Amino acid sequence: MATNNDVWAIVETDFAGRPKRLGLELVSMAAQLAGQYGGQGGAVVIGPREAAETVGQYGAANVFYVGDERCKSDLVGPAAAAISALISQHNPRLVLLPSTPLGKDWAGRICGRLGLAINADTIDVTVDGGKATAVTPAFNGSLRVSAQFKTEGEQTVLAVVRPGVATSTRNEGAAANVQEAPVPGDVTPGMTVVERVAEKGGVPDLAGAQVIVAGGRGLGSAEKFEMVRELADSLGGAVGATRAIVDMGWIPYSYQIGQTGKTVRPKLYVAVGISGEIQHKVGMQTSGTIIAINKDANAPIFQFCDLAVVGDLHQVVPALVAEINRRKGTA
Amino acid sequence: MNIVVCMKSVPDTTAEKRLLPDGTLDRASVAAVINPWDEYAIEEALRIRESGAATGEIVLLCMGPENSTETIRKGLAMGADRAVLVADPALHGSDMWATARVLAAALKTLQFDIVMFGSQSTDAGGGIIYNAVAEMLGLPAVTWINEVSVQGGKVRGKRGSDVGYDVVEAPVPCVVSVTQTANEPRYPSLPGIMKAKKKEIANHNVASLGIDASEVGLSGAKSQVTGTERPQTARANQILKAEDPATTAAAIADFLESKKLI
Repeated sequence: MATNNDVWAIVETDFAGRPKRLGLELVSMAAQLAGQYGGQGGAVVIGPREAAETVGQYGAANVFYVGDERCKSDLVGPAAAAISALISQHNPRLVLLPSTPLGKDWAGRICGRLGLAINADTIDVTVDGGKATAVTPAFNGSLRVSAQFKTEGEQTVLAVVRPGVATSTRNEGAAANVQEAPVPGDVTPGMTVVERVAEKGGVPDLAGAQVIVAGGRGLGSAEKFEMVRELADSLGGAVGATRAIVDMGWIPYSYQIGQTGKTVRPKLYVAVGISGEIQHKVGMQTSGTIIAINKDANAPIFQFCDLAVVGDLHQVVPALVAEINRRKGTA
Repeated sequence: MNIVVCMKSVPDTTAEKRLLPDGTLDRASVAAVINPWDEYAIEEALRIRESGAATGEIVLLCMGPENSTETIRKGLAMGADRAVLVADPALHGSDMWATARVLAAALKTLQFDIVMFGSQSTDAGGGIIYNAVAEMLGLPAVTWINEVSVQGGKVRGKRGSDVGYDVVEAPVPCVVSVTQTANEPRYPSLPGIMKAKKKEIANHNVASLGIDASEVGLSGAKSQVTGTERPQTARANQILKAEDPATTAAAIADFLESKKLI
């Protein structure tokens, strides 16, 4: 059955039931792409009605929300079944999903259930001549692959989109048509949540950070990571780390950036005492501006940064924190 | 309890990649390794058996070109018992849906309680296949977990959340994907490497799995590559040699201001 020209975004909600930032980026992106097809932006929110109303301020004309409590006890099965049913019923042209563990879980289930074309790890979507082209980094970012969907227009197609690809645009006056959508009867059970544990200090939102200051082995010791935090605070950013110092136990895994950690794309990335092994590079190379501070003039990181500061980080970083605070007028 | 570990052969991350004139990767120029994430899956399967929670076989399942056997031997040397390779020229260029279908069909020929995956791959990020396979087989899946335990017919693990972590579980048979914090993969021992040479690698192709060749590979793919390019990596690469800390800090701050970053 042929699709219509609408583009949907799938939105996750946080523990407090608020839409997640990446979801809002996708809602605005969907509205913009739908405009190019001559269709409408839409969204499916897995969460409460209030979240759906918020989503309506980001460009979606129609918002479905799946408020069923079963989506909290089984994170994947009921939501994937509900989204699949909505897709089958309404036939949107393109559906954007968040490139997060949960978004990928849903995307995989929907792809398996409905047999749809899917583009994972999408870093760009453009529409030209009524056809979408999705761009994906391949082989650890050493290539950019552009692809088109052969089934576009006949069947809904899926793109799983990374954070920072689109900008969310809020229009408080906008009001969407908000409707509740049910979880259908034929749910494939996904995974059951036995316990939700909050950790002291929480978990860093690296994917959504505009500024990241990351530390590596060059810091010398776990205590020196404090310098990274201070620099991040002065820049209003988040902190990250290399695998080396995560493995040494200086900082938890949730801060790790790189091949086996998170992929980030902030406006500013400051690498402190990081040599720039390829495993780290692949997690941060698409950042906006990259500044590296390292005493080794031959460190690989200096090959892919905008500003290479060759010097002793133990002197440079505290001086930089003081200088930034002075310019901001806070010190 | 039997465990199947799905593994993928990928180009070595650290190797310099060369492109063929048609823009595709010259795979022959790059050494292949087990997808680093899948090593954690193999290790976890071995640990589950060593803990006594499973006593059956550990089988590696790989879809890839014929020469994937070299990489598979590395997994067998870690301690898996045997392997199944699904290789067929018709599979070249398969998309995610087709790959999931082939793996699901191959899994139907095997006896398993747990199907283990790495949570991502390094050649194409993915994270999609194992849920698609689970859906096709009607199985639950516990994904992105570490601290894996198998008890009372259930697989349980910790999965990162916004505020900390969730403890999640599913009854067997189920699909499991592990993260790199699940364990530290072992290096194959010399006896392990010797033994691996004699271990069985069974072969399947599209026909033996009852799949129509036109529905997989490039011809069956629902999407098609329209171009590849090397990303623009050209950066300013301005070099600043540190002098006294205050001067250096001021220069960095000037740079940040020029980019409107402070």
